[in-house]
Amino acid sequence: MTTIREASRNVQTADDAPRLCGERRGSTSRHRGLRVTFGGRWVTVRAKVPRNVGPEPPTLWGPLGRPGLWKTVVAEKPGRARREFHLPLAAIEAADPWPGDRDEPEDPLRACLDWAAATVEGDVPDGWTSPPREQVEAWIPSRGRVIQSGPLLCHGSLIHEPRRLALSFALAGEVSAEITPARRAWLGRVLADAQSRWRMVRVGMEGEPDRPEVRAEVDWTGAPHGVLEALVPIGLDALRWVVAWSLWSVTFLSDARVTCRAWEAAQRKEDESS
Amino acid sequence: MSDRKGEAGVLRFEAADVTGTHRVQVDDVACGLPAGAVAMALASRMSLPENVPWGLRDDSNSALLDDDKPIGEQVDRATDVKLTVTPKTHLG
Repeated sequence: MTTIREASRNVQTADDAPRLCGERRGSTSRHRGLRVTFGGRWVTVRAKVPRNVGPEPPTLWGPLGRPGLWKTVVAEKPGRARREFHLPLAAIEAADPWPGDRDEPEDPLRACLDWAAATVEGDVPDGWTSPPREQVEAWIPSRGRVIQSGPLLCHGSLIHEPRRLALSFALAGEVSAEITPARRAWLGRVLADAQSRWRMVRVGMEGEPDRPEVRAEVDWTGAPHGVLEALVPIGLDALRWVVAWSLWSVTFLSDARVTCRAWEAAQRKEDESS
Repeated sequence: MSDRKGEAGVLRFEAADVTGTHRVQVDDVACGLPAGAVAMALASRMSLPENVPWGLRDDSNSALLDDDKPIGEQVDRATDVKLTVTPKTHLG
C-alpha cells in the first residue's frame, strides 16, 4: 500500500503543473482549478461560494441532494464563507490502487480529487454508478441508521439509486411556520454551526421556505468505488456526531409549541437598537 | 419523540411502564424504527433508569417485540396499539 505522501506525489494537475503535495503538512496546491490543502488527517478541497438561493445563509439552502461532499462552511471571519470538500486521509490510505482505464493503476488520491472536481458544479462523474445495495448495506447496517438522543429518535434514510448514494437524516420533519424570525435565525445559526464544526456532513433546509424540512446528509455520489468501503463508515460516524449534537436544539427550535424567552431576546435587542 | 418521516409511515400508540406510573401517547414514531431503539427512547422519556435494557411488550398478545425488527411490522396498526416498556430480565 502506498502512503499518502507517496500517493500525493503522483497527483498532478491536468496541465502537468507542479506536484500537489510537498514535504510539509499544510502544503497547498491546485487540481483542475480547485485549491487543495493537505492537513494532518484530511485533504481539504476548496472552491468559490455559490449564490444564495433561500432566506437563510448560503450554507443552508441549495446544497442538499447535490452529488459529492461539497458544502459551504462559515469562516472565522464574520460574513465570510468557504465551499469545501473534505477527504479523510485514512480512507485514501486504506484503499489499494485499482486498475484504471489507462495502463497505470488508478491512484486513490487522484481519483478522489477528480471526484471533487467532477461534482463541484453538481455533476455526477461520467459512467459512475452506485455499488450494489447489498454491499452498501454491509457498510451501513440498519442499526447504524438509528440515532437516539434521550427521548428523541432519528432514522436515517439510505438513498441508493443507480446514480446516487447518500445517507440522510431528517432533523426536523417540518419547521413550524409560526416561529418568530428571531427564533428562525437561531435555528439557522445552529445549523450553520453544525455544518461548520464537522467535516463531510451537509446540514440544510429544503421544501417550502416558510416550513422547510431540516436534514443532515453525507453524499458519496461519484466517489471512486475503491475508497468507498473506508469512506462510508467515516461519513456515517460524522453524521452520527452531527445528528446527536444538533437533534435536541433543532427539535425544540423548530416546534412552535416549545417556548423560551431567551430565543426572542436577540430580536428584541435588535428592534430596540433600530 | 420527534417526528421523523419513516419509509413505511408513522405509528401511533399508547405506552406505559410496567408499574403504570408513566403513561404517554406517542403519535409520531416512524414504522421503520427498530423496536429496541423505540423502547430506549421511551424509557428516557419516562425517566426510567438508562442502565437497564428495556424492551416493548404488545398488550394485545403479551408478545415481546424483537429489538432489531421494525416496530411497524410487529404490531397490528389497524387496532389501538398499547405497548408496555418492560425491563428485559429473566428469572433463574
